[in-house]
Amino acid sequence: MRKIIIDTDTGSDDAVALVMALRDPSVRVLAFTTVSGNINVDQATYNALQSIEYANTYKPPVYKGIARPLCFESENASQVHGIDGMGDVGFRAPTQKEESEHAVDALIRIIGAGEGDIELITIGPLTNIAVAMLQAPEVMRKIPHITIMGGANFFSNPHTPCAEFNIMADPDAAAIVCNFGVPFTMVTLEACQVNGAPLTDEEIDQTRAAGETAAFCMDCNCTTYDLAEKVYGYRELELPDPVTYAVFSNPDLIKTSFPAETHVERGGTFTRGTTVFRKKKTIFEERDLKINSTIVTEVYGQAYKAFQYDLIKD
Amino acid sequence: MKRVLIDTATAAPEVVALVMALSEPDIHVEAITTVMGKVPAGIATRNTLLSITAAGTYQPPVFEGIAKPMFHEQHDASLIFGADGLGSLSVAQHPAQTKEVLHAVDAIIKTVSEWGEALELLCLGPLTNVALAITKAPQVMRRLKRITLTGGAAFEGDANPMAEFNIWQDAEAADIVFNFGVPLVMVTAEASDACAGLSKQDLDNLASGQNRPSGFGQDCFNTLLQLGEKNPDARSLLFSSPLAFAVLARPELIQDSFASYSRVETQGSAQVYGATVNDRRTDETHPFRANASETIGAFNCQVVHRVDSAAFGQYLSGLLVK
Repeated sequence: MRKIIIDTDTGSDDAVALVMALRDPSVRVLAFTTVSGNINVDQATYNALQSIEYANTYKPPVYKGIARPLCFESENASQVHGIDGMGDVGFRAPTQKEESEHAVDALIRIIGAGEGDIELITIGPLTNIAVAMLQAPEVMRKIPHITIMGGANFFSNPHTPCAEFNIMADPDAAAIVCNFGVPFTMVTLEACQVNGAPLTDEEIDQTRAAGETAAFCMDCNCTTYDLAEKVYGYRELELPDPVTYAVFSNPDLIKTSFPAETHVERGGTFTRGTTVFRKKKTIFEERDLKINSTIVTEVYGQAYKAFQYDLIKD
Repeated sequence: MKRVLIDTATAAPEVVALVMALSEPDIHVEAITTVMGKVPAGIATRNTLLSITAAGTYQPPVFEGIAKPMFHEQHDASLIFGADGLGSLSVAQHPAQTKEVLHAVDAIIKTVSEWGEALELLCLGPLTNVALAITKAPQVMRRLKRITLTGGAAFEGDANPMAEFNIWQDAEAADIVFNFGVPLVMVTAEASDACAGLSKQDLDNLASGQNRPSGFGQDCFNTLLQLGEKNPDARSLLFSSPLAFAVLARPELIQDSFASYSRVETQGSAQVYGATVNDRRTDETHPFRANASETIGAFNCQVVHRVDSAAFGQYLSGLLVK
């Protein structure tokens, strides 16, 4: 059974990923660590506890982490996720409490005690991970692989012309993680947008009807699909974090990916937060290519949605 | 008939583009200005004069321009094209014409003020001359209705991961041009990379035609193909200038392009220097963006990333054998 820690800025789509992980028989979640991103870290922590409640399986410890990006304040995404990050629906309060240990300390302690077999999934900004890497590089080097929801391949992103939210929210932290040396898979925003990955109007309703947990997974995303309805005239639901979890659990769901030497741009007038994918050494560059990542740009949409549905239905 | 001013850093690909332009009856080249780029400015001027001699049609005046990018030293492309920029291409040894005394920047301003909106600008090199002309005489330059350029990347660069060679050569100059407001047609690295695949049949077409001067068209084509074989990673540099000319003369060659607010990254790391940042968002398509008060610039650029390469090959060979 694969052992994992999930680092999350729990807002709506994170909640679905957390539920999926807790219900996936091939995986044991050792801990959730939280970070500011979609929503502030206090709310993210509460939302993670609530997701555990509604997953209705076992209860891994939840550790609260860092409240702001490394170097500069950034924006949140409440317009997509609601003020509480969970669609402002009014779900029941969780019974579990957060741990007193800091998320960064918990990461270092748990990974340090492991045997190099604990994998990391990040579905928020990379602030906690970067700080843990700075504080305990030798421990963090024991991580065999990191799966990251983040980055963008093409220039058509909602937030800036070429940066995806999780990376843009803390580009400095992301740069530390990319340069650290642990190989990673990046599930880009477009992987969650193309090839039938978004849930359709019908699929949203069908999932809602599949039990309390599945209803929770849909309802906590209502701000997103209501916004889609207002703008496009129909409901549609992109779920980047669940796609990322699905790809982690079942790599066969990947349709298109490529190896790259990935950098995160920290400077730049227009490009701060851009994930720069170096795929070849151009004739004008002296430095050899050093592949550090796999970039996922497409998944099999229907297969991913079936995988997700099977995990969250009752 | 379209009146065109061509600003060019002439190496072998630009020789081909210039011969095409001078052979196209629907185009009249009013002036040619030169700039450093794949080769130093002096060599670009010499190659330009040789191209006019090789074309053997009419003789537009040639004006030499800027010899160095605005803020750093020149990185030429002698690795690919050799010190004279021509590869194995043999053009006449002695041009039948000499360059003018006037500086290219002033020649651009003068020609634009003469012809105004009747003139189109075709840029086949770094945008240094044009940026300085814009800075010196913005009101004159605003009369241009369009600038077509060889360069920029839609998604992926050929000089670094995000920048195309011509833009990367002088990103600051390029951003002055992009930020100016005259609409741009960007014939990207992606569009020209796809054209590097055309070849043998077009070569046969050339062989069967009446060459002028003898064998010159074939020689041009062979040179570009050989350079492509030797430098597979630089394929996008080979047909980009002939393609940019073709797109100007025959816009119907465009198969796929998008409108965007494009700017050039001049800050940040070497990984992004010269990136053409193409912002395709509008309020309608991207209501989800976080900062709703952020204003997205008006579209200033048509980003051409796919062309009909077979039709381009026919057009190119047709002009070269004329």
